[in-house]
Amino acid sequence: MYGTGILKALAVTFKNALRPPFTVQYPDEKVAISLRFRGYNFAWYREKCTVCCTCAKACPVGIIYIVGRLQPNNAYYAERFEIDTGRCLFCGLCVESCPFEAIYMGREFEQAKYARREEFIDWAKKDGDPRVPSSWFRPCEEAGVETHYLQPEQRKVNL
Amino acid sequence: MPRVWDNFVYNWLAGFLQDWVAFLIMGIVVMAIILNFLALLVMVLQYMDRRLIARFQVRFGPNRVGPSGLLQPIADTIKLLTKEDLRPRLADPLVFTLAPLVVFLGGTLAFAVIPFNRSGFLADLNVGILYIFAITSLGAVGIFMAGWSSNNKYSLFGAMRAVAQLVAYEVPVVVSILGVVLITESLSLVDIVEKRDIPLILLQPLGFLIYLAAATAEVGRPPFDLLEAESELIAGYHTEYNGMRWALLQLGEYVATFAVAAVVTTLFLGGWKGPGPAVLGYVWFMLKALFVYLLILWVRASLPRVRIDQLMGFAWKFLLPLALLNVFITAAEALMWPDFPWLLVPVNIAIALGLVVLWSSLFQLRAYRKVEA
Repeated sequence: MYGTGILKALAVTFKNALRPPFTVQYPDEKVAISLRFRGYNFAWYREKCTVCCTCAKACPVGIIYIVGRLQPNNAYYAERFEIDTGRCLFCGLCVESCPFEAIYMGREFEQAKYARREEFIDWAKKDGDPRVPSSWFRPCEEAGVETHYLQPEQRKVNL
Repeated sequence: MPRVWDNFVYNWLAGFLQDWVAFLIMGIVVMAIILNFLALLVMVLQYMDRRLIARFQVRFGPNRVGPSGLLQPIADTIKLLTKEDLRPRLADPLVFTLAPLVVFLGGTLAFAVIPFNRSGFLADLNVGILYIFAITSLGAVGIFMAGWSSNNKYSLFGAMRAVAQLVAYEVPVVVSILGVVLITESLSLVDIVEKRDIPLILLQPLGFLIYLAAATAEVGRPPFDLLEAESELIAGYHTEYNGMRWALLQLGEYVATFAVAAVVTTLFLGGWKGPGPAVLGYVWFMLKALFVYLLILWVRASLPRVRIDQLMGFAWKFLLPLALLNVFITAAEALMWPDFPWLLVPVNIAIALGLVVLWSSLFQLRAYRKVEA
């Protein structure tokens, strides 16, 4: 019988009209980002990094620049650690490749800048800045599980 | 002497002027009022349209310009007014310029006879309904002018569809109204409202449904917007229009839709009648008309666009037979019970429901034969 579909459609739209709008009004409101979001603004930890450059070798577009210096205690110190995020694919291979969990994806998505050079993140100059690391590829961090290669005070990442 | 405007301004003017001068002055003033009212109303309707459609689709709609987006129509109007006036080189200049005006007039002239209140009308024609159907069909001429003069295949397709649709749907529209005319024994809109105490939708539920569906199709509102189907014809007949000419076409469409709502209010919902003092008649009329507009909007938000064969099948195989049956049934009732007692209300509603259910189970579109490749 024709016509029942019409009534069904009217009922659907009527029900929808009573629901609150689904829209998130972006600049005013922001959605809660998942902890495992693979986003902008990598978090890099100087104290964990040994300047092995595995991340720079793993990067398919070659946008990680590292300059290391040998210290008297036989450990390397990263003089430069820069990521040109303007060309980043967000593939996460640098995070996967890092043997010391020194680099994390970020949980931000606002990447718009006024100039291309501002897309360079120079984490060596921002040692004290707060980091917003993503727990992608690091489920232990999210759960607070102890891992053998982290000092206890480093373990709780500010997720 | 025609019965017009027995308000105090007219009486005061008629005190020291000749009757026809007072009539003329009042007419011009009221025409100006109605025209400006319609132009402002379209802004409100468009805002309402966008906000409510958005709510039906679980989103906000325009809410940035002014408090809850209330200034959005004004911003749109300013933008449209200041746009460059483009005309295709190969378009017919005269017809191209004239077409938006004709489309706009088609909807606007209908408001000359629509009574907003007991004495709130421009003219009380004794053939008011006939006049409305004659004048709203003018819109199709304007649409065809727009499509033809644009010299664009999409425009022409849209215009052709518009004319086909209008010709098909004019028939059920007119036939569905005959029931009302039979009950009220008049073609004048004022008489129709005043004749019965109850809204005629109770006595004519079937006529109401048929008229609403057919008139929605006649003004080309979704789901019957084949004439400007944006997925098939870029924008149909107004593909080549922009700026203020496009706005006039849009204005004409909205005014025509509101004219449908106003006619439904007048014929079926008791026009200005409602509790409260006589001045509230304007408010009651507007409330009822906006309610009908909301119904059209709701259908628009719910249903997908129909195919052309569904469109034609709906007009000729569904609406027209039911409208004819409605006329016969109403005529029989008018012969047997000329004062239409209350008992007829449930009977008529039952008849309407039964006929709609019966006819929709019998309804069939032509089955397409599969062609062997």
